[in-house]
Amino acid sequence: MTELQTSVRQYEQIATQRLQGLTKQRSLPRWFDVCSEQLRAASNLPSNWDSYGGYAANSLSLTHSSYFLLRLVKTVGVLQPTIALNACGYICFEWETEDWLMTVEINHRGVASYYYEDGDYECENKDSGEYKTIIQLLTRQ
Amino acid sequence: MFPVSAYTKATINNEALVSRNAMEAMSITSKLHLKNAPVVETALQIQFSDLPGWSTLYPGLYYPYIRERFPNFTHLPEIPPTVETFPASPKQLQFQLRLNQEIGCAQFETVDSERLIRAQRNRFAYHWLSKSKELASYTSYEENLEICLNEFDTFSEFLQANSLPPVDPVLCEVMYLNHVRPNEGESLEAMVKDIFNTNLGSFELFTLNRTFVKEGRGRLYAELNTNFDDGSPFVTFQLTSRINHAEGDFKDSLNDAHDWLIDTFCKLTSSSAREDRWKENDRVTNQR
Repeated sequence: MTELQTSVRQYEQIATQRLQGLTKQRSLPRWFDVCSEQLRAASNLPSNWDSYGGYAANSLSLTHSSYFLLRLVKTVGVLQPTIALNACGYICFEWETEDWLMTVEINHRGVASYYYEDGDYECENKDSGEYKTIIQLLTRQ
Repeated sequence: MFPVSAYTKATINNEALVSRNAMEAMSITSKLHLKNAPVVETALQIQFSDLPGWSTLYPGLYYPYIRERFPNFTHLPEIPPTVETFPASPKQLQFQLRLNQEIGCAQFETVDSERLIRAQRNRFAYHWLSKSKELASYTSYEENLEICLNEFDTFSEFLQANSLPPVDPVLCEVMYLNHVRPNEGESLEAMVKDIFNTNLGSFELFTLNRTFVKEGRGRLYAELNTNFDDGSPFVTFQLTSRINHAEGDFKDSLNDAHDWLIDTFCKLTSSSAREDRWKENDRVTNQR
């Protein structure tokens, strides 16, 4: 049904030859391709994919999620998320380590509802725009 | 069961298309009056969250609601969703989703191809297109807004009648495409300098693109490009204004987008060019 196309161009590349030898170029994290594939797979799911009337992926949630994913890969220290579709048709990002866990749901307006838990500390809120709060939580270790 | 309104608006003329919201629209303060506006196309678009369960079946069910006014039906690929993020997406990284082309976009045109409606699972759009190269064929924003709102009301009636939820608008867009042609004997370079206060020297082709941000809730794109028509050069000047809609009446967001676009048009063009070439403030016709 849907096809995800990714193309990566000149990530963190300095354009001038003069500076190329002076600046260490960053490469994309290896998990970017895995996440791209998970997003593509989520976008391919038809309506009622869960046999309980689950909605197909919301086109706006998908588009905002691709932006959110780009913000993640631009940030040093973010671990690989797992990407899945929920019954409302919204894209979810999930992290679970031995120490902490986080879930983020991106709705059709690009608003991210998140839940974070680290030992006794837990918080639940919404974030949007540059998703600064979520990224701060993801890189606090 | 079709709504009564689909039959009351039977004839294809402006009087029939402009109706109930006329008084509200007329209360909008007009900022710019161009007797000879260079507009060749304008579009008013409302983007909303996906209508759940929308399929290829629904354009066929919607057709009877607008067939009297927009009888020519075409099926097009789906227009990709637009999201405006602040800041913009990281520059060095391109990541594109190609969305479902099977569901597509339904386009309904008037007999004279001057107006069209596009409807898809997440977007409703109304377009006015110039039928000739003559200036002064453009109508007005008020008139186009009225037609757009009336047709949107009909679309909403259709959704309700087919047990689909009401739309949840997230973004409103206004687009104006202008064709700016030099006067007889005038070079393109001289025209660009006169209108846009920009001396580009002698050029074969040029492209100028600028974007503007409004309080973290909207983005405006101004694009200038050279073009040719039967070997004669002219400039396409496109302005696209998008406002993220959060709450309240989406018509206010459409008006915000339009007013911002007109302000930008005035900032990017010289007042002398607007007066001499496009007859600004000539109130013979009330153009906006």
